[in-house]
Amino acid sequence: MWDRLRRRFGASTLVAVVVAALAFVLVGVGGGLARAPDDALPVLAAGPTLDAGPWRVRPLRAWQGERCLLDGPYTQAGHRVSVEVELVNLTDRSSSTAAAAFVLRQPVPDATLPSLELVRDRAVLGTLHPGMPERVVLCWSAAAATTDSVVLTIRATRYKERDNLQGGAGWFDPHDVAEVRLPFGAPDPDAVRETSR
Amino acid sequence: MSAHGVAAPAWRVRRRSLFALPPLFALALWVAVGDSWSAWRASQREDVTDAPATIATAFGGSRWQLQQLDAVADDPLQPVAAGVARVRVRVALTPGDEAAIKRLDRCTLALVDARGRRWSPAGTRPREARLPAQCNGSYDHRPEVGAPLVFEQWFLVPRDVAAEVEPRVVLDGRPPAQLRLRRD
Amino acid sequence: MSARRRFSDALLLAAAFGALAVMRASTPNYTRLIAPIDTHGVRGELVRGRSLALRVDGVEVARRLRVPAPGGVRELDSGGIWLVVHATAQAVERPERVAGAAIVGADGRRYAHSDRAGFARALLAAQELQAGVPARGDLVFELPQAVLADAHLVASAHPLDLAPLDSRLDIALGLDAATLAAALFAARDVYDLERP
Repeated sequence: MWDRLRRRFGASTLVAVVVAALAFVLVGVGGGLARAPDDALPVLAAGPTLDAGPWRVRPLRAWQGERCLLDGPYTQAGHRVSVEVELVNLTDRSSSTAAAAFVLRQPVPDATLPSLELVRDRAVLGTLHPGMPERVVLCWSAAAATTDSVVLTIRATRYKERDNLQGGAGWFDPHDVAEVRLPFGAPDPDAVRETSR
Repeated sequence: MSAHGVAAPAWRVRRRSLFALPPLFALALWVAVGDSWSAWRASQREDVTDAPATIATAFGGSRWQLQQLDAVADDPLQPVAAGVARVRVRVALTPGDEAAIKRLDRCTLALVDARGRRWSPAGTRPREARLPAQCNGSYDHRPEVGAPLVFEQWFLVPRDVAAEVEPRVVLDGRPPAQLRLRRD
Repeated sequence: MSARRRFSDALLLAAAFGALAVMRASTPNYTRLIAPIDTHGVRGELVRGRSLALRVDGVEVARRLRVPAPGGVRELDSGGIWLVVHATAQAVERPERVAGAAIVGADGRRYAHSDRAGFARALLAAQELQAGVPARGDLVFELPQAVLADAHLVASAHPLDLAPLDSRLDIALGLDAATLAAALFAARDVYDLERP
């Protein structure tokens, strides 16, 4: 049968057709023919929980002020935006990369990474342990807000057994999964209490 | 298809190729890991100068001499575990010039045994110790060019090596320059 | 080429692909290739690695931990419980610290040494260990109670996962059902790191 086809169309054409068909099949299996994902992100308010890769996030409240809760007495006052969330580490080991899961969109922050306060201790957050929910306050220094609410995007990563560079395991591919809108309100009394219990 | 005496017989070519494999393999190994291996060898080299106890030895711009090295009786106020001995090391140094004094800022003292195990000073200084604990003196005893400076460090070592450990003064450098202060 | 020759060629090619696929699937990923080299042991025995040797003397459970703080002490509570591991450790070749310690549960979840406790003197992680000179101290962990069953302690001279092919000690804490029940029954309200 091949011989007949080869005489009819020529060997190179046959090879080209076979390779093209194979390529089409592989691209389809790999997901290249699927529809591109939608642009709009789901919008969250305070309350519901969202699983974002290594973290389970529940936004609680937001407030603004002149200082972050952890600012020392000599830090220059400015405009600070604080957001309190409840976080659970969904991975299998203790992690201190919670700040990477949150991107402040409105008001625009001066620097990307917020300071993180563990409400339980009223102190800088260290590591979060697997399966142990904790309330955390993220605080950014930001331009003075002209709106009455804060907008954050929650960024998730995917776990890969082998990455593309070294073949090691890790969390890669940061992508936005949701948008959180919280109106500015009163700070959490637990988060602003005096430090000695 | 056979060639007539133009090419060597196939088996001869194959045999030569086979013999060429070991040197090629060695070359490939060298290309792959030769640099790392040389770097590791260089990191294992030690730059050690010997200092007999009887005379002062020049090292890093200063002259050094071991004054005292002994295991000290246990202090009832700071008990140590059984099998552990407190060792006191007292060293005299005389800086030769200002550059030597600057080098003293990065100098450390360690005890080393015959196996190569190291001990760093352990915080068991008795309260009444008056001599400075660092090579670069203390607030009251600053090193001066040509003036002898005596400093003292305390260590905790296993009792069975207390008699054989020798102090080493380590100055910065790659590899760090070491002065072995011999007991004899 | 004869059909038989073509068939055997195709078979060889398929076999080669098969072998490659099996090799690829069974090669450990890079993380496992540079994973630490474990030395195993049980509670009560001195487990000796390349840089550290450690013996677990006992474990205790507490609901709160009292730690030194600027201006006095403070009490730390937790969403789970506090596990205090009493241990005696020494370096092997040169001065080391217990820079990495964690509790690994039966399901593989790993709980790192708590960083909330500061630098209390009783903490083993705060002491510089000398070769052959045993030092006693506590390692403190915050974890859910369910993780304690058949848990292991892992400890190394470098922070966990940061040093490739590091020497790591893996010590079973002996928390079988009976021992665990006894430890939970004897759980303290407050464990004081300042004066244990």
